[in-house]
Amino acid sequence: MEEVISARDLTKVYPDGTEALRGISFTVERRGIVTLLGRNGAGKTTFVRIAATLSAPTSGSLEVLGMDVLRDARSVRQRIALMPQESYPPTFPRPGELVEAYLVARGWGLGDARRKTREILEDVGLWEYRDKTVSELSGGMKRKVILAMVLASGADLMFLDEPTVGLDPQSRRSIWRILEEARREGRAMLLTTHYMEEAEALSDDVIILDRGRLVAHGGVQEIVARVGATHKLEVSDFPGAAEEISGYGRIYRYGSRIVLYSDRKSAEEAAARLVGGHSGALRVKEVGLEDAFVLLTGGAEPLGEGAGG
Amino acid sequence: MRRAGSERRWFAVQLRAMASIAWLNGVVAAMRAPLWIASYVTPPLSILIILRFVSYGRTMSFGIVGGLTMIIVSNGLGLLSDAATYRLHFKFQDLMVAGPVSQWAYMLGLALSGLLFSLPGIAVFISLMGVLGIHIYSAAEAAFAIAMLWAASAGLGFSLSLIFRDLKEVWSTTSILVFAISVLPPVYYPLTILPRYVGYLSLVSPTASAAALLQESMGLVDLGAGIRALSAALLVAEAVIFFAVTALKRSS
Repeated sequence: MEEVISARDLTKVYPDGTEALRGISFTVERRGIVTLLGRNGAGKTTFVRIAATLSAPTSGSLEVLGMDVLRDARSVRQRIALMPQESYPPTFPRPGELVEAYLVARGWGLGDARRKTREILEDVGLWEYRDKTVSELSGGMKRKVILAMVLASGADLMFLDEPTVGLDPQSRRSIWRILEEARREGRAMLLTTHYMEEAEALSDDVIILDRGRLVAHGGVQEIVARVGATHKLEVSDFPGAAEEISGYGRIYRYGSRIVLYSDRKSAEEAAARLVGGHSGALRVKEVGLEDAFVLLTGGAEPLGEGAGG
Repeated sequence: MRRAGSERRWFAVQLRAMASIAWLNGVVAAMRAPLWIASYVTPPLSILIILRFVSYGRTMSFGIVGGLTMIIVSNGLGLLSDAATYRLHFKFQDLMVAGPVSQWAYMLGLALSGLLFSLPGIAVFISLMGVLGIHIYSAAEAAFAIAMLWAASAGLGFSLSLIFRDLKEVWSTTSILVFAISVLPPVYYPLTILPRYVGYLSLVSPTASAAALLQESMGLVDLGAGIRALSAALLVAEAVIFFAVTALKRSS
Protein backbone atom coordinates (compact mmCIF):
# COMPACT_ATOMS: atom_id res chain seq x y z
CA MET A 1 0.00 0.00 0.00
CA GLU A 2 1.30 3.49 -0.89
CA GLU A 3 2.51 5.82 1.83
CA VAL A 4 0.19 8.78 2.41
CA ILE A 5 2.91 11.32 3.19
CA SER A 6 6.65 10.91 3.42
CA ALA A 7 8.94 13.84 4.26
CA ARG A 8 12.75 13.64 4.18
CA ASP A 9 14.84 16.47 5.67
CA LEU A 10 12.28 18.97 4.46
CA THR A 11 13.30 22.60 4.91
CA LYS A 12 11.73 25.87 3.89
CA VAL A 13 13.47 29.21 4.22
CA TYR A 14 11.49 32.26 3.05
CA PRO A 15 13.23 35.11 1.18
CA ASP A 16 13.24 37.23 4.38
CA GLY A 17 15.33 34.54 6.08
CA THR A 18 12.53 32.99 8.16
CA GLU A 19 13.20 29.27 8.64
CA ALA A 20 9.68 27.85 8.58
CA LEU A 21 10.70 24.19 8.37
CA ARG A 22 14.04 22.84 9.62
CA GLY A 23 14.78 19.35 8.34
CA ILE A 24 11.50 17.57 8.98
CA SER A 25 11.35 13.81 8.36
CA PHE A 26 8.38 11.52 8.94
CA THR A 27 6.20 8.99 7.17
CA VAL A 28 2.45 8.46 7.46
CA GLU A 29 1.59 5.00 6.20
CA ARG A 30 -2.06 4.48 7.01
CA ARG A 31 -5.09 6.38 5.76
CA GLY A 32 -7.27 8.25 8.20
CA ILE A 33 -6.84 11.60 9.90
CA VAL A 34 -3.34 12.92 10.55
CA THR A 35 -3.27 16.07 12.66
CA LEU A 36 -0.49 18.63 12.55
CA LEU A 37 -0.21 20.50 15.82
CA GLY A 38 1.99 23.45 16.62
CA ARG A 39 1.94 26.97 17.94
CA ASN A 40 1.45 29.91 15.59
CA GLY A 41 4.48 30.03 13.30
CA ALA A 42 5.44 26.41 13.97
CA GLY A 43 5.42 25.63 10.24
CA LYS A 44 2.05 23.86 9.89
CA THR A 45 0.66 25.96 7.05
CA THR A 46 4.03 26.02 5.29
CA PHE A 47 4.07 22.23 5.38
CA VAL A 48 0.50 22.04 4.06
CA ARG A 49 1.29 24.48 1.23
CA ILE A 50 4.31 22.43 0.16
CA ALA A 51 2.34 19.17 0.34
CA ALA A 52 -0.47 20.77 -1.69
CA THR A 53 2.09 21.81 -4.38
CA LEU A 54 1.50 25.53 -3.75
CA SER A 55 5.01 26.22 -2.52
CA ALA A 56 8.38 24.62 -3.15
CA PRO A 57 10.67 23.38 -0.36
CA THR A 58 14.12 24.93 -0.04
CA SER A 59 15.68 21.48 0.35
CA GLY A 60 14.72 17.92 1.15
CA SER A 61 11.89 15.99 -0.41
CA LEU A 62 8.23 15.36 0.17
CA GLU A 63 6.16 12.56 -1.31
CA VAL A 64 2.39 12.63 -1.27
CA LEU A 65 0.54 9.41 -2.13
CA GLY A 66 3.84 8.00 -3.35
CA MET A 67 4.58 10.91 -5.71
CA ASP A 68 7.18 13.66 -5.38
CA VAL A 69 5.48 17.06 -4.93
CA LEU A 70 8.00 18.80 -7.19
CA ARG A 71 8.69 16.21 -9.90
CA ASP A 72 5.14 14.84 -10.12
CA ALA A 73 3.23 17.97 -9.11
CA ARG A 74 0.62 17.58 -11.82
CA SER A 75 -0.10 13.95 -10.84
CA VAL A 76 -0.24 14.90 -7.15
CA ARG A 77 -2.82 17.60 -7.93
CA GLN A 78 -5.12 15.07 -9.60
CA ARG A 79 -5.53 13.31 -6.24
CA ILE A 80 -5.59 16.06 -3.62
CA ALA A 81 -7.89 18.85 -2.45
CA LEU A 82 -7.20 21.72 -0.06
CA MET A 83 -9.33 23.67 2.37
CA PRO A 84 -7.02 26.67 2.94
CA GLN A 85 -6.66 28.38 6.30
CA GLU A 86 -9.25 31.15 6.82
CA SER A 87 -10.87 30.39 3.47
CA TYR A 88 -14.38 31.53 2.69
CA PRO A 89 -16.51 31.10 -0.41
CA PRO A 90 -17.25 34.11 -2.65
CA THR A 91 -20.48 35.67 -1.42
CA PHE A 92 -22.66 35.99 -4.55
CA PRO A 93 -23.17 32.31 -5.60
CA ARG A 94 -25.43 29.79 -3.92
CA PRO A 95 -23.76 26.86 -2.12
CA GLY A 96 -24.78 24.39 -4.83
CA GLU A 97 -23.42 26.61 -7.61
CA LEU A 98 -20.05 26.74 -5.89
CA VAL A 99 -19.79 23.00 -5.30
CA GLU A 100 -20.94 22.27 -8.85
CA ALA A 101 -18.51 24.77 -10.42
CA TYR A 102 -15.66 23.36 -8.31
CA LEU A 103 -16.41 19.78 -9.38
CA VAL A 104 -16.75 20.70 -13.06
CA ALA A 105 -13.46 22.63 -12.83
CA ARG A 106 -11.86 19.46 -11.47
CA GLY A 107 -13.04 17.56 -14.53
CA TRP A 108 -16.41 16.15 -13.45
CA GLY A 109 -19.23 15.86 -15.98
CA LEU A 110 -22.12 18.24 -15.35
CA GLY A 111 -24.64 15.47 -14.56
CA ASP A 112 -22.34 13.75 -12.06
CA ALA A 113 -21.43 17.09 -10.51
CA ARG A 114 -25.13 17.94 -9.99
CA ARG A 115 -25.84 14.56 -8.37
CA LYS A 116 -22.80 14.78 -6.10
CA THR A 117 -23.59 18.39 -5.17
CA ARG A 118 -27.04 17.44 -3.91
CA GLU A 119 -25.63 14.45 -2.03
CA ILE A 120 -22.89 16.44 -0.28
CA LEU A 121 -25.16 19.40 0.58
CA GLU A 122 -27.55 16.95 2.24
CA ASP A 123 -24.64 15.30 4.09
CA VAL A 124 -23.33 18.57 5.53
CA GLY A 125 -26.78 19.98 6.28
CA LEU A 126 -26.77 22.72 3.64
CA TRP A 127 -29.49 21.40 1.33
CA GLU A 128 -32.20 23.46 3.03
CA TYR A 129 -30.12 26.58 2.37
CA ARG A 130 -29.65 25.80 -1.32
CA ASP A 131 -31.66 28.84 -2.48
CA LYS A 132 -29.74 31.31 -0.34
CA THR A 133 -26.60 33.05 -1.55
CA VAL A 134 -23.42 32.55 0.49
CA SER A 135 -23.73 36.15 1.78
CA GLU A 136 -26.91 35.09 3.61
CA LEU A 137 -25.21 32.20 5.44
CA SER A 138 -23.59 32.25 8.90
CA GLY A 139 -19.82 31.97 9.34
CA GLY A 140 -20.10 28.28 10.24
CA MET A 141 -22.20 27.52 7.19
CA LYS A 142 -19.72 29.35 4.95
CA ARG A 143 -16.96 27.08 6.28
CA LYS A 144 -19.23 24.12 5.61
CA VAL A 145 -19.62 25.23 1.98
CA ILE A 146 -15.83 25.09 1.53
CA LEU A 147 -15.71 21.76 3.34
CA ALA A 148 -18.50 20.46 1.11
CA MET A 149 -16.53 21.46 -1.99
CA VAL A 150 -13.41 19.68 -0.77
CA LEU A 151 -15.25 16.56 0.43
CA ALA A 152 -17.28 16.31 -2.78
CA SER A 153 -14.09 16.32 -4.85
CA GLY A 154 -13.49 12.65 -4.04
CA ALA A 155 -9.79 13.47 -3.59
CA ASP A 156 -7.74 10.66 -2.08
CA LEU A 157 -6.00 13.07 0.28
CA MET A 158 -7.57 16.24 1.67
CA PHE A 159 -5.60 18.99 3.38
CA LEU A 160 -7.77 20.80 5.92
CA ASP A 161 -5.96 23.82 7.34
CA GLU A 162 -7.77 24.83 10.54
CA PRO A 163 -11.22 23.88 9.24
CA THR A 164 -13.05 24.71 12.47
CA VAL A 165 -11.29 27.88 13.57
CA GLY A 166 -13.69 30.54 14.84
CA LEU A 167 -16.71 28.24 14.86
CA ASP A 168 -19.10 27.73 17.77
CA PRO A 169 -18.90 24.34 19.54
CA GLN A 170 -22.01 22.99 17.78
CA SER A 171 -20.73 23.86 14.30
CA ARG A 172 -17.31 22.45 15.20
CA ARG A 173 -18.80 19.17 16.32
CA SER A 174 -20.94 18.92 13.22
CA ILE A 175 -17.79 19.30 11.12
CA TRP A 176 -16.12 16.58 13.24
CA ARG A 177 -18.99 14.23 12.37
CA ILE A 178 -18.51 14.96 8.67
CA LEU A 179 -14.77 14.28 8.91
CA GLU A 180 -15.33 11.05 10.85
CA GLU A 181 -17.72 9.92 8.11
CA ALA A 182 -15.09 10.69 5.45
CA ARG A 183 -12.55 8.67 7.45
CA ARG A 184 -14.96 5.71 7.57
CA GLU A 185 -15.13 5.92 3.77
CA GLY A 186 -11.37 5.34 3.68
CA ARG A 187 -10.30 8.90 2.79
CA ALA A 188 -6.99 10.32 4.01
CA MET A 189 -6.92 13.76 5.63
CA LEU A 190 -4.17 16.01 6.93
CA LEU A 191 -5.70 18.37 9.45
CA THR A 192 -4.16 21.33 11.23
CA THR A 193 -5.76 22.73 14.35
CA HIS A 194 -5.14 24.64 17.56
CA TYR A 195 -7.94 22.79 19.34
CA MET A 196 -6.46 19.93 21.35
CA GLU A 197 -9.82 18.28 22.00
CA GLU A 198 -10.36 18.27 18.23
CA ALA A 199 -7.04 16.55 17.65
CA GLU A 200 -7.76 14.10 20.45
CA ALA A 201 -11.22 13.27 19.12
CA LEU A 202 -10.33 12.88 15.46
CA SER A 203 -6.71 11.89 14.98
CA ASP A 204 -5.30 8.53 14.02
CA ASP A 205 -1.84 10.07 13.94
CA VAL A 206 -0.53 13.28 15.49
CA ILE A 207 2.51 15.26 14.39
CA ILE A 208 3.76 18.07 16.61
CA LEU A 209 5.89 20.82 15.12
CA ASP A 210 7.74 23.45 17.10
CA ARG A 211 9.62 26.32 15.48
CA GLY A 212 9.92 24.35 12.26
CA ARG A 213 11.15 21.13 13.87
CA LEU A 214 9.29 17.88 14.39
CA VAL A 215 9.08 17.15 18.10
CA ALA A 216 6.69 14.20 18.15
CA HIS A 217 4.89 11.82 15.83
CA GLY A 218 2.62 8.94 16.76
CA GLY A 219 -0.85 7.94 17.85
CA VAL A 220 -2.66 10.11 20.41
CA GLN A 221 -2.05 7.64 23.27
CA GLU A 222 1.60 7.24 22.26
CA ILE A 223 2.12 11.00 22.44
CA VAL A 224 0.20 11.40 25.69
CA ALA A 225 2.38 8.64 27.17
CA ARG A 226 5.41 10.89 26.62
CA VAL A 227 4.19 13.06 29.50
CA GLY A 228 5.38 10.20 31.76
CA ALA A 229 2.37 10.50 34.07
CA THR A 230 -1.26 9.44 34.02
CA HIS A 231 -2.77 12.23 36.13
CA LYS A 232 -2.25 15.86 36.97
CA LEU A 233 -3.16 18.28 39.70
CA GLU A 234 -3.58 21.93 38.75
CA VAL A 235 -3.29 24.65 41.36
CA SER A 236 -3.67 28.39 40.94
CA ASP A 237 -3.52 31.30 43.41
CA PHE A 238 -2.03 29.05 46.09
CA PRO A 239 1.15 30.57 47.56
CA GLY A 240 3.82 28.00 48.39
CA ALA A 241 1.98 25.18 46.58
CA ALA A 242 5.03 24.12 44.56
CA GLU A 243 7.11 23.59 47.71
CA GLU A 244 4.24 21.82 49.51
CA ILE A 245 3.75 19.16 46.80
CA SER A 246 7.29 18.89 45.50
CA GLY A 247 7.64 15.27 46.62
CA TYR A 248 4.62 13.95 44.72
CA GLY A 249 5.73 14.17 41.09
CA ARG A 250 7.07 16.53 38.44
CA ILE A 251 5.99 20.12 38.82
CA TYR A 252 5.67 22.76 36.10
CA ARG A 253 4.55 26.35 35.99
CA TYR A 254 2.11 27.41 33.23
CA GLY A 255 1.80 31.16 33.64
CA SER A 256 0.12 31.62 37.02
CA ARG A 257 -0.77 27.92 37.42
CA ILE A 258 1.25 25.17 39.05
CA VAL A 259 0.76 21.68 37.61
CA LEU A 260 1.85 18.46 39.21
CA TYR A 261 2.22 15.42 36.91
CA SER A 262 2.09 12.07 38.64
CA ASP A 263 -0.02 8.92 39.06
CA ARG A 264 -3.60 9.19 40.35
CA LYS A 265 -2.72 8.17 43.95
CA SER A 266 0.16 10.62 44.34
CA ALA A 267 -1.80 13.44 42.73
CA GLU A 268 -4.74 12.86 45.10
CA GLU A 269 -2.40 12.75 48.10
CA ALA A 270 -0.82 16.02 46.97
CA ALA A 271 -4.27 17.58 46.65
CA ALA A 272 -5.22 16.36 50.12
CA ARG A 273 -2.06 17.82 51.58
CA LEU A 274 -2.75 21.22 50.04
CA VAL A 275 -6.30 21.47 51.37
CA GLY A 276 -5.65 19.80 54.68
CA GLY A 277 -7.05 16.36 54.04
CA HIS A 278 -10.03 17.40 51.85
CA SER A 279 -8.95 16.47 48.35
CA GLY A 280 -12.41 17.25 46.91
CA ALA A 281 -11.59 20.95 46.67
CA LEU A 282 -8.82 20.38 44.13
CA ARG A 283 -9.57 18.18 41.12
CA VAL A 284 -7.18 15.56 39.87
CA LYS A 285 -7.53 15.04 36.10
CA GLU A 286 -6.25 12.58 33.54
CA VAL A 287 -3.33 13.76 31.45
CA GLY A 288 -4.28 14.57 27.84
CA LEU A 289 -2.87 15.65 24.50
CA GLU A 290 -2.76 19.30 25.57
CA ASP A 291 -0.36 18.41 28.40
CA ALA A 292 1.88 16.51 26.01
CA PHE A 293 1.76 19.38 23.54
CA VAL A 294 2.68 22.02 26.11
CA LEU A 295 5.50 19.94 27.59
CA LEU A 296 6.93 18.91 24.21
CA THR A 297 6.88 22.44 22.82
CA GLY A 298 8.46 24.00 25.89
CA GLY A 299 5.34 25.86 26.96
CA ALA A 300 5.80 25.00 30.64
CA GLU A 301 8.61 25.87 33.02
CA PRO A 302 9.89 22.86 35.02
CA LEU A 303 10.06 23.58 38.75
CA GLY A 304 11.24 20.26 40.14
CA GLU A 305 10.82 16.53 40.35
CA GLY A 306 9.71 14.45 43.31
CA ALA A 307 9.16 10.82 44.15
CA GLY A 308 5.79 10.22 42.56
CA GLY A 309 4.71 9.88 38.90
CA MET B 1 0.15 6.88 -26.95
CA ARG B 2 -0.96 6.64 -23.31
CA ARG B 3 0.88 9.86 -22.57
CA ALA B 4 -0.85 11.63 -25.46
CA GLY B 5 -4.21 10.41 -24.11
CA SER B 6 -3.47 11.70 -20.64
CA GLU B 7 -2.33 15.06 -22.07
CA ARG B 8 -5.61 15.35 -23.98
CA ARG B 9 -7.57 14.54 -20.82
CA TRP B 10 -5.56 17.11 -18.86
CA PHE B 11 -6.19 19.74 -21.52
CA ALA B 12 -9.93 18.94 -21.53
CA VAL B 13 -10.01 19.41 -17.73
CA GLN B 14 -8.31 22.80 -18.11
CA LEU B 15 -10.92 23.92 -20.64
CA ARG B 16 -13.70 22.82 -18.29
CA ALA B 17 -11.98 24.68 -15.46
CA MET B 18 -11.79 27.91 -17.49
CA ALA B 19 -15.43 27.65 -18.51
CA SER B 20 -16.50 26.84 -14.97
CA ILE B 21 -14.60 29.75 -13.38
CA ALA B 22 -15.82 32.14 -16.10
CA TRP B 23 -19.41 30.97 -15.50
CA LEU B 24 -19.11 31.40 -11.74
CA ASN B 25 -17.32 34.76 -11.70
CA GLY B 26 -18.91 36.12 -14.87
CA VAL B 27 -22.42 34.81 -15.50
CA VAL B 28 -23.50 34.04 -11.92
CA ALA B 29 -21.98 37.26 -10.59
CA ALA B 30 -23.66 39.31 -13.32
CA MET B 31 -27.03 37.67 -12.65
CA ARG B 32 -26.82 38.29 -8.90
CA ALA B 33 -25.48 41.84 -9.14
CA PRO B 34 -26.42 43.46 -12.47
CA LEU B 35 -25.52 46.84 -10.97
CA TRP B 36 -21.86 45.84 -11.37
CA ILE B 37 -22.37 45.81 -15.13
CA ALA B 38 -24.08 49.21 -14.94
CA SER B 39 -21.13 50.53 -12.93
CA TYR B 40 -18.78 49.68 -15.82
CA VAL B 41 -21.03 51.35 -18.43
CA THR B 42 -21.88 54.52 -16.48
CA PRO B 43 -18.50 56.39 -16.65
CA PRO B 44 -17.99 56.02 -20.44
CA LEU B 45 -21.64 56.85 -21.11
CA SER B 46 -21.30 59.99 -18.95
CA ILE B 47 -18.20 61.04 -20.89
CA LEU B 48 -20.08 60.41 -24.15
CA ILE B 49 -22.93 62.66 -23.02
CA ILE B 50 -20.47 65.41 -22.03
CA LEU B 51 -18.76 65.11 -25.44
CA ARG B 52 -22.15 65.38 -27.14
CA PHE B 53 -22.82 68.77 -25.54
CA VAL B 54 -19.29 70.17 -25.51
CA SER B 55 -18.46 69.31 -29.14
CA TYR B 56 -22.01 69.62 -30.51
CA GLY B 57 -21.79 65.95 -31.51
CA ARG B 58 -18.65 66.36 -33.65
CA THR B 59 -16.47 64.01 -31.55
CA MET B 60 -19.04 61.29 -30.90
CA SER B 61 -16.99 58.74 -32.88
CA PHE B 62 -14.01 59.32 -30.60
CA GLY B 63 -16.38 59.06 -27.65
CA ILE B 64 -17.52 55.64 -28.86
CA VAL B 65 -13.91 54.44 -29.26
CA GLY B 66 -13.06 55.83 -25.81
CA GLY B 67 -16.13 54.21 -24.30
CA LEU B 68 -15.40 50.77 -25.78
CA THR B 69 -11.78 51.04 -24.63
CA MET B 70 -12.78 52.16 -21.14
CA ILE B 71 -15.29 49.33 -20.67
CA ILE B 72 -12.81 46.67 -21.73
CA VAL B 73 -9.92 48.06 -19.73
CA SER B 74 -11.99 48.62 -16.59
CA ASN B 75 -13.20 45.01 -16.75
CA GLY B 76 -9.70 43.75 -17.46
CA LEU B 77 -8.18 45.79 -14.65
CA GLY B 78 -11.17 44.84 -12.50
CA LEU B 79 -9.52 41.45 -12.37
CA LEU B 80 -6.87 43.11 -10.21
CA SER B 81 -9.55 43.41 -7.53
CA ASP B 82 -11.11 40.01 -8.24
CA ALA B 83 -7.80 38.14 -8.32
CA ALA B 84 -6.48 39.89 -5.21
CA THR B 85 -9.74 39.42 -3.28
CA TYR B 86 -9.89 35.74 -4.21
CA ARG B 87 -6.24 35.28 -3.25
CA LEU B 88 -6.03 37.39 -0.08
CA HIS B 89 -9.54 37.38 1.38
CA PHE B 90 -11.34 34.22 0.26
CA LYS B 91 -8.22 32.06 -0.37
CA PHE B 92 -10.25 30.83 -3.33
CA GLN B 93 -7.20 30.74 -5.60
CA ASP B 94 -5.40 28.23 -3.36
CA LEU B 95 -8.58 26.17 -3.10
CA MET B 96 -8.84 25.95 -6.88
CA VAL B 97 -5.22 25.41 -7.90
CA ALA B 98 -4.34 22.86 -5.19
CA GLY B 99 -6.06 20.34 -7.43
CA PRO B 100 -6.32 19.50 -11.13
CA VAL B 101 -6.91 23.18 -12.13
CA SER B 102 -3.68 24.77 -13.42
CA GLN B 103 -2.63 28.35 -12.66
CA TRP B 104 -3.14 29.20 -16.34
CA ALA B 105 -6.66 27.78 -16.46
CA TYR B 106 -7.53 29.67 -13.28
CA MET B 107 -6.18 32.96 -14.67
CA LEU B 108 -7.78 32.55 -18.09
CA GLY B 109 -11.08 31.55 -16.47
CA LEU B 110 -11.10 34.75 -14.43
CA ALA B 111 -10.04 36.76 -17.49
CA LEU B 112 -12.93 35.23 -19.47
CA SER B 113 -15.30 36.21 -16.70
CA GLY B 114 -14.08 39.80 -17.15
CA LEU B 115 -14.83 39.56 -20.88
CA LEU B 116 -18.33 38.24 -20.12
CA PHE B 117 -18.84 41.22 -17.84
CA SER B 118 -17.72 43.57 -20.67
CA LEU B 119 -20.13 42.15 -23.24
CA PRO B 120 -23.29 44.06 -22.20
CA GLY B 121 -21.32 47.35 -22.21
CA ILE B 122 -19.77 46.54 -25.59
CA ALA B 123 -23.25 45.76 -26.90
CA VAL B 124 -24.55 49.13 -25.64
CA PHE B 125 -21.76 51.02 -27.44
CA ILE B 126 -22.11 48.99 -30.65
CA SER B 127 -25.86 49.75 -30.60
CA LEU B 128 -25.03 53.43 -30.15
CA MET B 129 -22.79 53.21 -33.20
CA GLY B 130 -25.82 52.08 -35.18
CA VAL B 131 -27.93 54.91 -33.78
CA LEU B 132 -25.23 57.53 -34.51
CA GLY B 133 -24.47 56.13 -37.97
CA ILE B 134 -20.84 55.26 -37.13
CA HIS B 135 -19.38 52.44 -39.25
CA ILE B 136 -16.53 50.02 -38.80
CA TYR B 137 -14.59 49.72 -42.04
CA SER B 138 -12.09 47.13 -40.83
CA ALA B 139 -13.84 44.61 -38.57
CA ALA B 140 -10.67 42.49 -38.31
CA GLU B 141 -8.63 45.45 -37.02
CA ALA B 142 -11.37 46.36 -34.51
CA ALA B 143 -11.75 42.76 -33.29
CA PHE B 144 -7.98 42.43 -32.94
CA ALA B 145 -7.79 45.67 -30.94
CA ILE B 146 -10.63 44.63 -28.61
CA ALA B 147 -9.28 41.09 -28.06
CA MET B 148 -5.70 42.22 -27.40
CA LEU B 149 -6.80 45.08 -25.14
CA TRP B 150 -8.82 42.56 -23.11
CA ALA B 151 -5.82 40.20 -22.88
CA ALA B 152 -3.32 42.96 -22.04
CA SER B 153 -5.50 44.63 -19.41
CA ALA B 154 -6.44 41.28 -17.82
CA GLY B 155 -2.75 40.31 -17.77
CA LEU B 156 -1.86 43.68 -16.23
CA GLY B 157 -4.60 43.21 -13.64
CA PHE B 158 -3.31 39.76 -12.70
CA SER B 159 0.35 40.74 -12.50
CA LEU B 160 -0.46 43.76 -10.31
CA SER B 161 -2.73 41.65 -8.07
CA LEU B 162 0.31 39.70 -6.90
CA ILE B 163 2.06 42.82 -5.59
CA PHE B 164 -0.53 43.84 -3.04
CA ARG B 165 -1.03 42.52 0.49
CA ASP B 166 -3.86 44.87 1.48
CA LEU B 167 -7.21 44.96 -0.32
CA LYS B 168 -7.78 48.67 0.37
CA GLU B 169 -4.70 49.46 -1.73
CA VAL B 170 -6.02 47.17 -4.46
CA TRP B 171 -9.37 48.96 -4.77
CA SER B 172 -7.86 52.44 -4.84
CA THR B 173 -5.14 51.39 -7.30
CA THR B 174 -7.74 49.90 -9.66
CA SER B 175 -9.78 53.14 -9.73
CA ILE B 176 -6.71 55.31 -10.28
CA LEU B 177 -5.31 53.05 -12.99
CA VAL B 178 -8.56 52.78 -14.93
CA PHE B 179 -8.87 56.56 -15.19
CA ALA B 180 -5.15 57.13 -15.68
CA ILE B 181 -4.89 54.82 -18.68
CA SER B 182 -8.30 55.26 -20.24
CA VAL B 183 -8.73 59.06 -20.04
CA LEU B 184 -5.27 60.66 -20.08
CA PRO B 185 -3.64 58.86 -23.08
CA PRO B 186 -5.04 59.33 -26.62
CA VAL B 187 -8.16 57.24 -26.14
CA TYR B 188 -10.89 59.88 -26.45
CA TYR B 189 -8.82 61.93 -28.90
CA PRO B 190 -6.54 61.10 -31.86
CA LEU B 191 -2.91 60.22 -31.29
CA THR B 192 -2.00 62.47 -34.21
CA ILE B 193 -2.71 65.72 -32.32
CA LEU B 194 0.13 64.97 -29.91
CA PRO B 195 3.78 65.89 -30.65
CA ARG B 196 5.28 62.97 -32.54
CA TYR B 197 7.51 61.61 -29.77
CA VAL B 198 4.75 61.95 -27.13
CA GLY B 199 2.42 60.06 -29.45
CA TYR B 200 4.91 57.21 -29.80
CA LEU B 201 5.49 57.18 -26.05
CA SER B 202 1.76 57.06 -25.32
CA LEU B 203 1.45 53.81 -27.28
CA VAL B 204 3.11 52.07 -24.34
CA SER B 205 -0.30 52.27 -22.69
CA PRO B 206 -2.36 49.37 -24.10
CA THR B 207 -5.42 51.66 -24.15
CA ALA B 208 -3.67 54.10 -26.51
CA SER B 209 -2.54 51.33 -28.89
CA ALA B 210 -5.97 49.72 -28.93
CA ALA B 211 -7.78 53.06 -29.31
CA ALA B 212 -5.50 54.03 -32.21
CA LEU B 213 -6.37 50.78 -34.02
CA LEU B 214 -10.08 51.19 -33.23
CA GLN B 215 -10.05 54.80 -34.46
CA GLU B 216 -8.43 53.65 -37.69
CA SER B 217 -10.90 50.76 -38.10
CA MET B 218 -13.69 53.38 -38.03
CA GLY B 219 -11.93 55.59 -40.56
CA LEU B 220 -11.27 58.39 -38.03
CA VAL B 221 -7.49 58.49 -38.49
CA ASP B 222 -4.87 57.11 -40.83
CA LEU B 223 -2.12 55.71 -38.63
CA GLY B 224 0.30 54.72 -41.34
CA ALA B 225 1.97 51.31 -41.48
CA GLY B 226 4.61 52.12 -38.85
CA ILE B 227 2.28 53.19 -36.04
CA ARG B 228 -0.24 50.48 -36.95
CA ALA B 229 2.42 47.76 -36.70
CA LEU B 230 3.91 49.25 -33.53
CA SER B 231 0.48 49.44 -31.84
CA ALA B 232 -0.35 45.84 -32.74
CA ALA B 233 3.09 44.56 -31.68
CA LEU B 234 2.95 46.41 -28.36
CA LEU B 235 -0.52 45.04 -27.56
CA VAL B 236 0.56 41.45 -28.26
CA ALA B 237 3.83 41.86 -26.36
CA GLU B 238 2.10 43.41 -23.33
CA ALA B 239 -0.51 40.65 -23.19
CA VAL B 240 2.18 37.94 -23.35
CA ILE B 241 4.53 39.68 -20.90
CA PHE B 242 1.85 40.43 -18.28
CA PHE B 243 0.50 36.85 -18.33
CA ALA B 244 4.02 35.39 -18.31
CA VAL B 245 5.05 37.56 -15.34
CA THR B 246 1.95 36.41 -13.47
CA ALA B 247 2.58 32.74 -14.20
CA LEU B 248 6.27 33.01 -13.24
CA LYS B 249 5.53 34.87 -10.00
CA ARG B 250 2.84 32.37 -9.06
CA SER B 251 5.07 29.37 -9.61
CA SER B 252 8.04 30.85 -7.75
